[in-house]
Amino acid sequence: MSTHSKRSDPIVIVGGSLAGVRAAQALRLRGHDGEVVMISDEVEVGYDRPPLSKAVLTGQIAPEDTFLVGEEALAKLDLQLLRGQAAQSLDIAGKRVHVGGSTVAYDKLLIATGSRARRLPLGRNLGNILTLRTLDDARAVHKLLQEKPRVVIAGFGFIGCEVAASLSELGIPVTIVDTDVSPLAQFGSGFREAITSQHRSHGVDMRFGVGITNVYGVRDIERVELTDGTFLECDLLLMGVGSVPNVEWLGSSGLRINDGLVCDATLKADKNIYGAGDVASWVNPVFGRRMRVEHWTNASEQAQTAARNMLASQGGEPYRGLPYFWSVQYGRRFQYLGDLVAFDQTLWLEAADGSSTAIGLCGKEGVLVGVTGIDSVAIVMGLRAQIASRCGWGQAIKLVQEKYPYLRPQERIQGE
Amino acid sequence: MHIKVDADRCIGNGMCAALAPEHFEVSNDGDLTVLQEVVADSDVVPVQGAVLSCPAAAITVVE
Repeated sequence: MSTHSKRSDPIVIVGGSLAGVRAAQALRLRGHDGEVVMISDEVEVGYDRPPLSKAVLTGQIAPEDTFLVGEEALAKLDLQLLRGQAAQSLDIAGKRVHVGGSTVAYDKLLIATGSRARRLPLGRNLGNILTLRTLDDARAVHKLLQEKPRVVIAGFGFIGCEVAASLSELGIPVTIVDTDVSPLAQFGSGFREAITSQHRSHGVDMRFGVGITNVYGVRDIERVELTDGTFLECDLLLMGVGSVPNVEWLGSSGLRINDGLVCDATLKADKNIYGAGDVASWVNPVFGRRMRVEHWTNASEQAQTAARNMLASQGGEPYRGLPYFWSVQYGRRFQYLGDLVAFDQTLWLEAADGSSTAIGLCGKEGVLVGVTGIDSVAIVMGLRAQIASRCGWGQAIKLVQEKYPYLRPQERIQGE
Repeated sequence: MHIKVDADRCIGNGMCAALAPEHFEVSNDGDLTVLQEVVADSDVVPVQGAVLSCPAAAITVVE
C-alpha cells in the first residue's frame, strides 16, 4: 500500500510482456491503488511466448489465444498503457523515462524489458530467415509452414528442439545444425541423450559440430552452406541461437550493466529502481551466485517479488526462486529445476516399470543443486524443497530411492 | 472462493502442485488433480500464486 499522503508520481513498468504484466497484477493484488504506467515497445501487450514454438506452430492454438491477460482483465488493472512505444533512455537524477518525444516521471521504476532473439549475421537481404520470439515471428513462421518448406534450424537449444518437434508433427522435414559437437551437454548426458534420441527416432536430421558459413538465394533463402562444405536446400532458416538482454536504452543511465541489468538479491538496481525477468541479473541466495535466467517462471515470480519490494516501506525480500524450465517435445515432458551451471556430480535414474520416466540428479560440492526430468513432473516438483534447502547429495539420493523405488540408477550412460 | 481448471489448457507442468500442494496434484505424466476446490481464506495467497505461475493460464479462482 502506498504510504504517500500527497499525490505521487506513478509506478512505471517498462516492458509489457510476462514480467511487466505479472508485476502490474501483483501491485493491484497487494492493494496498490495509485497510478501505474506500462511502457511497451510492442503493440500487443501481455501475450505468452511458450506456445509460440509449440501449439501456435502446429495450429492447435490461434495466436490470439496466447494472451496472459485478456483485454478485459488488462483494462481492470487500470494501467496507463503506452503501447508500441520503446523507452529510449532513463534519467535517474530527474526520475523520469524518455519515451518518444515525451517523458514519464516515476516514483518507483520496474525495468522488465526482457531479451530479444539473437541473429546470426547472415543473409540480411534475404527473406525467410527468421527468429521465433514474438507473436509476429510466430505468425510469419506459421504462414510459411503452410507451404511445406524445407526447413533448416540453426541451434540445437530448446527453441530449436521444440520447433523441430512441432514440424515433425506436421510432417515437415527439418535439419538442425549446431556448431557445438555436443549441444545440451550442460544438462548431463542422460537428459541430452533422451532428447536427441527422440529427435532421431522422429527423423530429424541432426548435424552437430558444424555451422552455417553462408546463405544463398535471389529474394528468399534457397540454400545454406555448412562449414563442412555441405549445401542444404532450404526455404526457411530459423535461428534459435539464444537471446540478448534489452539494456541498450539504459546505456547512459549510470545503472550497472553486465550481462543484463545488475540488481542486488532483492532485485533492486538503484534507489527506487528494480529489475525483473530476462533482463535482470541478481544474486540468488540459494546458490550464492549471480545469475540471469531467461525462463518463464523466473519472469513471473521475479515480477511478483519486485512488486512486493517496490511497495515495501523499507528493505525488501531477496528473490530465492529456483531456475525452472519445461519443454514439451513429441508429447514428452522435459523439465529442469535448479542451478545446472557447472555441477560436478550427476546420477541418472530410469524407471524400471517400462515407463519413460527418468530423472537426473545434479550435485555440486556435495549438495543437490538441480534435477532434470523426463515425464517426471511430480518427482521434479517434489524435489524443490530439497534443492532450496541445499540437501546433501547422499541424503538426496537416499530420499529419491526410498520415495521412488522404481527408479534405477544407470551406472553407464551411453554418449553420442 | 473455489478453483476452476480448464483441462484443455492445462499442460501439466506442475507449478500449481509445487506452490499449493494442498489444492493441486500433478502426476509424472502431467495429469492434474484438483484435491480441494474450495479455497479457504488462509490459502488465498498460495492459490493466487498458482494462478499467476500457471504458464497455460489454466487456473482461475471464482467467487
